Amino acid sequence: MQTVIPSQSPMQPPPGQPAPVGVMPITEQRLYQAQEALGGLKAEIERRLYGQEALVVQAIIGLLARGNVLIEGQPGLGKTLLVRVMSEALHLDFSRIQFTPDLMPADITGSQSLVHDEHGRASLEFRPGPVFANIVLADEINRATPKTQSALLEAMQEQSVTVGGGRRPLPAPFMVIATQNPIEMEGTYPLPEAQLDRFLLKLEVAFPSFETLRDIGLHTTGKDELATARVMDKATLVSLQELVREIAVAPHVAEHAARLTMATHPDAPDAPEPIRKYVRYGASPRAMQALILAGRAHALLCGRAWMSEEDIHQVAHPVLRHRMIQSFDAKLDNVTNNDLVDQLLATAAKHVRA
Amino acid sequence: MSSDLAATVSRWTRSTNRRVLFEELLRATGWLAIASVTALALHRLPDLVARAHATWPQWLPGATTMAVLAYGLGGLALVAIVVRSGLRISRRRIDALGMARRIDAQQGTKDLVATALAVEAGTVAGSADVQQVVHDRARTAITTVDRPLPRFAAPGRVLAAAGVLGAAALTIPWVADELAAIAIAEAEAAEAEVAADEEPPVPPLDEETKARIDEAIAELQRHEENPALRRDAREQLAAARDHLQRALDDPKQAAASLSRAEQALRQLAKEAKRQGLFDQEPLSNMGEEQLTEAMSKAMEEGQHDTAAAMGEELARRMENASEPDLRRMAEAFRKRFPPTSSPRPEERGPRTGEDESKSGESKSGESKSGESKSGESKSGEGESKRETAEERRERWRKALEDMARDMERGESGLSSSEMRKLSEELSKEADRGNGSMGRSLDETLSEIHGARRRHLEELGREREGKGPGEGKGPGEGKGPGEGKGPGEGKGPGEGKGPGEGKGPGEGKGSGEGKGPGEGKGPGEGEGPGGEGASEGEGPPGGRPGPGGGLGRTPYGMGFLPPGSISGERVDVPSGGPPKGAVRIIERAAQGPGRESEEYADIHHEYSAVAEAAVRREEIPLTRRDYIRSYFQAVRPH
Repeated sequence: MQTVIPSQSPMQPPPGQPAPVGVMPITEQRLYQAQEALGGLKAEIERRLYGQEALVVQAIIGLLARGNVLIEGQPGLGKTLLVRVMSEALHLDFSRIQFTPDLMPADITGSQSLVHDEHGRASLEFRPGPVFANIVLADEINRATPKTQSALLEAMQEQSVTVGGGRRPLPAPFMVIATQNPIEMEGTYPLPEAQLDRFLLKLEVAFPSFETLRDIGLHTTGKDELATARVMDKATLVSLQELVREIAVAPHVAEHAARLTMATHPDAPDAPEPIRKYVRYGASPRAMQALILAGRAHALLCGRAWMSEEDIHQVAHPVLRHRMIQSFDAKLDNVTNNDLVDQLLATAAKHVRA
Repeated sequence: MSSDLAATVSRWTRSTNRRVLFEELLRATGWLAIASVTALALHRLPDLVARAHATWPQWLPGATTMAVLAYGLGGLALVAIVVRSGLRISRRRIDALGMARRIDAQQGTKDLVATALAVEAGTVAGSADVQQVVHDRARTAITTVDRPLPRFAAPGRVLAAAGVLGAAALTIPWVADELAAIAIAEAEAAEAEVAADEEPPVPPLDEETKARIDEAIAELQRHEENPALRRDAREQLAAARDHLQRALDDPKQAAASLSRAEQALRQLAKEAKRQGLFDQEPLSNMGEEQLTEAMSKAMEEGQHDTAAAMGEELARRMENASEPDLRRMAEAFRKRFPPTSSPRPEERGPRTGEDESKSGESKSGESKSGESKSGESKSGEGESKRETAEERRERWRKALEDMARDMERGESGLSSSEMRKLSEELSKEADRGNGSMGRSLDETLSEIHGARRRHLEELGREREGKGPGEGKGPGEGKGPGEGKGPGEGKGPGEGKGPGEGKGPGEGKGSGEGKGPGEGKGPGEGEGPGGEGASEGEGPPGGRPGPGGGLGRTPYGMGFLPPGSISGERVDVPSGGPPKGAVRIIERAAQGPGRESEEYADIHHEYSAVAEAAVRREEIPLTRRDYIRSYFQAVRPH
């Protein structure tokens, strides 16, 4: 996936000092400021994370859409760094949970402890777990047991945890970024498809190019460690998340997203032949929601107040790649879900041209 | 929110659709022009080829089929063009959303105008602020849009193809005329080079041929008047006579007409073999006096088979006749068969059973007295050989007188029996070829055949026989079929020797084979005709003659039983142009099979028609020799 963010918006900067984004009405000026802020965030993250522009954009899309992101990639490609830099740049609370088979749900959600006050009276006090943070990095989520995974997934879905019979909301903004290692799958607990569906996006971390690898060697092994600048505060991020949901979506764009989702089903009339052959179950309606939500975030990232069909195409891979269940033939023929999404988009493009 | 954006986009949409319609109509017109010109060309192609004096390829269908093909293809093309144009128009027509998308693609505004249209329509989800922003942005963007009509896309290739085809359609007739002029010029040049090949005007029938035809006409007419003749046989004779008359009237058609007359008689011969020439039905409608008169006339003219048929009918009537009827018949007999002046037995009592037995005895040769009846004719060959024709006729006449007397006495059985015996004798006489209609028709057929051969030879001589360098070609020689034809010997007929065919180019026939038909035959026979085996070769500077004269069949013309003549196959090397056209000559090799007769019929007919077509100059000059060579190569034995 390649996302192009214009370096200069067609919208002209308003005269005078820009007001805070969160309190402004939705105008050209506010859109411009949002784009500027997001551009700064992206630039700051990319300053620390070499050669992963697409990954950064998709992570920001996930953040703006208030979604949770699953990142899959080999160790050492910068997954943890991405999350840490993002939280630092946004000045958000960040916690990291290394999932292991003996990790318990309480280790994530927190637990009640017996506490004695100065008078010697004992009481139960809730000690929040690492999930109580704005950005939670669930590292190697597939290494924990399903029970523990479920605890985290509940938090992702409900934006709250229930401990000791009491429901405790999680801080806003809240985002889980889980990572998965595609190798060394022995002894792991792969996430069920139903739970995968709860991740808005599934990002794939590509191995960097030769030049990127060279730059990583040059800039990250020195004496001075680079510090991350704070480019956006929490309130601004929340207002941008709200702005994403204000982005205009025309019916024909929504139809396009719906058609794309329908086409992932092998028994759909518009399904391309590879989908019929290699897909056992298609994407859920939640995928269609994810397409539009992520597309809206992409539109805002591009400085537009409206969403286009191109936005859908830009987010289609991370939205759909973990939502289609392949058939056995796909495994035999070494067909990936990315290939299938490519086919979907090619068919959809023909439909748009027609 | 104002709807000025939607109005603008709709206006552009309508303009675009009008242009699409115009373009597609133009394209359809081009295709229709192409289809029309192609169909017309298919239809007119045979005419154009003929106009260019070129040869229409044999593997292509004929003019009618081409016309049907042209109209069929034209109709199909029309339907296809209309359907295709309709589909294209419906596919290319756009709505307002399509136009908005087109503008977005043109301006790079990524669905801005399309979304703004939806905003105007009130179908967009999102805050009013955002919708206003989008709409304002779209209005701003659309002001920079030039008229978003696509460039006029004229169907250049289609129109160009239509133009080229149209120009070709206008030009090709002129080119055909030019080609024809060239072909004519070449043909004239070729004719100048081969001056001897010039087609002479059709010569009139020579006097001898005319005389033969006149004679045949008269003969056929005489046979037509025979009351015992079957109706279809009479019609066949009339048809043959008409053809002969046409041959006299139109020399150009003479060969074909003679061939048709010959064919008609051959057909009659086939039918005669199957069911005879006579029919009792017309005789049964005649009165006794008419029958007696007809029998008398037939006997006088020597038509023994006709007389036999009459006699049979009279015998049948005598058998069942009453006494007054018998007396009436006797009177008619005396009138038609008057008593002769020659001495006859003075005493002749009424016939009894003894007389009858005597009559029977006379079969064995005892009747030397004047009472010898018709039964005497069966007294053996030795006796009949001694009896002259005059004596035989006299004996028959006496028998008839006796019959008259028997009838006067009312002896129906006796007179009937005697009449039957006489009829049998007449019939046998006819079977021997003496006085039979078949024999006569066979001679007539032979005459017609001879007349046609003579005419064709004359034509060939007119055409080929001129010029220096005539020589005897390699085809000269003796082939199968030489020998004495049937009839030679001690038969009552006269046998003719085997004929010699003479090719128009002085090719001497290859025939003269010797056949097993030698022996006693009842009729005339003609030996196989000689045929030039190939073209003769002349001395340098001369042109070879064509060879290939017409011969006669090795047996009778069809009305008489054929003899059995076998021959042998002779391969004669060809020489002279056209090479390979004439290679093998088979002469009378297979004997008198009926298939050969049929084949000969067809060949005679077709070759005559082809020759006539050649003579009428319907065949291009360069192809005439091929046709002649072909018919020469496939001629019958």
